[in-house]
Amino acid sequence: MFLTLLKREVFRYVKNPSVTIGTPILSQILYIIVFGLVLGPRIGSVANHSYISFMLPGLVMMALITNSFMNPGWSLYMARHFDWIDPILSSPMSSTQIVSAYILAGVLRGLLVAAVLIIVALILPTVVAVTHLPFVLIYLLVVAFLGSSLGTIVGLWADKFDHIVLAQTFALFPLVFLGGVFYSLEMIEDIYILSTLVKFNPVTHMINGLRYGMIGVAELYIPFGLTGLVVLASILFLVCVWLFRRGYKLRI
Amino acid sequence: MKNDVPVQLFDISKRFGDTLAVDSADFSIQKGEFFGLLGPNGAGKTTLIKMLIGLANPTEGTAEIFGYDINEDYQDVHSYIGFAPAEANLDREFSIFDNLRFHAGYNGVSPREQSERAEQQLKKFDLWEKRDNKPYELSTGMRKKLLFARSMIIEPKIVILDEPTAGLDLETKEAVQNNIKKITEEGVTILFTTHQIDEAERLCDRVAIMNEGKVIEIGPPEELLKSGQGDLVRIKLTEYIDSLPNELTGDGYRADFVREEKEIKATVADGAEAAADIMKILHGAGIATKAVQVEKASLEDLFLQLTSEDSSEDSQINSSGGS
Ligand SMILES: Nc1ncnc2c1ncn2[C@@H]1O[C@H](COP(=O)(O)OP(=O)(O)OP(=O)(O)O)[C@@H](O)[C@H]1O
Ligand SMILES: [Mg+2]
Repeated sequence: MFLTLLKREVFRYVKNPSVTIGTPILSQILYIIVFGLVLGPRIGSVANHSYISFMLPGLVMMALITNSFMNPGWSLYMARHFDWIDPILSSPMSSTQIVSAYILAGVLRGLLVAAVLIIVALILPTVVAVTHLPFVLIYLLVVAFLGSSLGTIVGLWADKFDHIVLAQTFALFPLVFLGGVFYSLEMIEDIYILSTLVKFNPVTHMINGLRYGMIGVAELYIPFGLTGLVVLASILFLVCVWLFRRGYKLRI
Repeated sequence: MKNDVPVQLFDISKRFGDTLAVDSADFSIQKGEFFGLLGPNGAGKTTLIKMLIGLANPTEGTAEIFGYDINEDYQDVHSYIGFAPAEANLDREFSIFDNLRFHAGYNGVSPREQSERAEQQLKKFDLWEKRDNKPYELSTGMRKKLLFARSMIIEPKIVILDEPTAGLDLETKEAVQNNIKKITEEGVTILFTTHQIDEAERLCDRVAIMNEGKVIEIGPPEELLKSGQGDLVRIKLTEYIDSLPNELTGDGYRADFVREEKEIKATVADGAEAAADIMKILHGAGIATKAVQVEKASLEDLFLQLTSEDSSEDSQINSSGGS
């Protein structure tokens, strides 16, 4: 039951690899080329690392969170729009099983993209990609889970596809972009408002943690950030289950 | 199973804003019964069905499937029901073969058997050649067959079919009807809706007639006809008229008026007596008649009488006219 739905949700992107996996990897590689290889040398080293090594965890996070977000977001929206969610809702699966399948498929897609990016990074010269492996794994997993749960909520809420794009452009993208993908906190110290807001942005903590795992540098306190992210992910998951159980935008 | 009653409704209602789509439906369907739900467009048939299978939340009341509450024990409830909707809700991202396979999987059929059953169903409904096509690449009738096949693939104890034969050619319709009949012989309970009253009359053990959310009649087709109005009176007129005389539209009489064919129809208990009475009223109003015919009423005639717009509890025709 759960496994079939998970399989279906994974197949939907695996059979379209150029769109679902290729596109995000290409865009991140373009970032690596332009920011890392072209502009990077002019920026110099950040926190004793080459700019590209510093930036890479941010790029991985960006790809991870958007991809784990997109899968359940689009998939659920389409399933609702064309009503093919109905036979799933009428099956003997529990709400928790259905939600878990959607979320897990998104998690796997995010991890797949992130893994490819990290492998690419390992090939690049002068790039440090893995320093503390357990941290890399934990952060990837927690963030994928968080992004996928968020995507599930948006996929339920969206009444037209503009809404998903809206959520992505006005919420996800600013959070990710201002979450310290391209700069260190030290660089924005003087911009008081930004540097304060950035510390409340969960994405900053995600990137901070992954950066610690990848290059061994952390600008924020890891235990605090990690606890916060795990709590946030758990809350989002529970919200998803609750919305499904209630039939929010699923049942008339 | 907690008990032996496939479907038991408890004053179940569904409201959409000002519309009471289902108004305190309260009846049960017995094991192995072939049950028809009839009613004009918007009567509430689909809404009633959707509440049973977890696609609509009842506003009030509830229902049980083999004793399991549709809300509390939804997982048990869903494990007994196979459902084919009136409109295709097939998975457009996958082939029709995958559609069936996945559907079996969602319902707990083992991976090996999923493909076997999908193949078996597709072959049974002449869709095997189309197995790699997406649902939107099928014709409307083929999709209808596929929906039916999908509902059967989980070998359900209760099959709920929303207009399963609408839009099918004669041969396919017969194949689907035969299939439905065959599974009732295996003790499966059927709840189906249709707009083809003759189909319901022929196939169903019992029917419920719904109108504006209310179940207005329920029983075996023969008994409904016996207890209600048994004869159909047809009166042909010599020329067009603009409206019926008041005596035929007011309290007591309820006659239908088919304008193009210059014909008046009424379903009544005693055809001969009513025919004479109606003729008298028509002649009294100066309307000339050409022919009078009294025949046995079908369920369709009764249905039209019960559900036509201006009908209400107390304006149903009775043989004595007036009062
Ligand atoms: N999602 C909805 N939102 C608001 N009103 C609805 C919704 N679904 C159905 N209704 C209303 O409920 C009433 C019953 O509709 P329903 O679809 O149950 O009728 P039906 O008997 O199946 O008709 P048909 O024979 O045309 O299929 C109608 O007035 C309809 O407009
Ligand atoms: Mg309907």
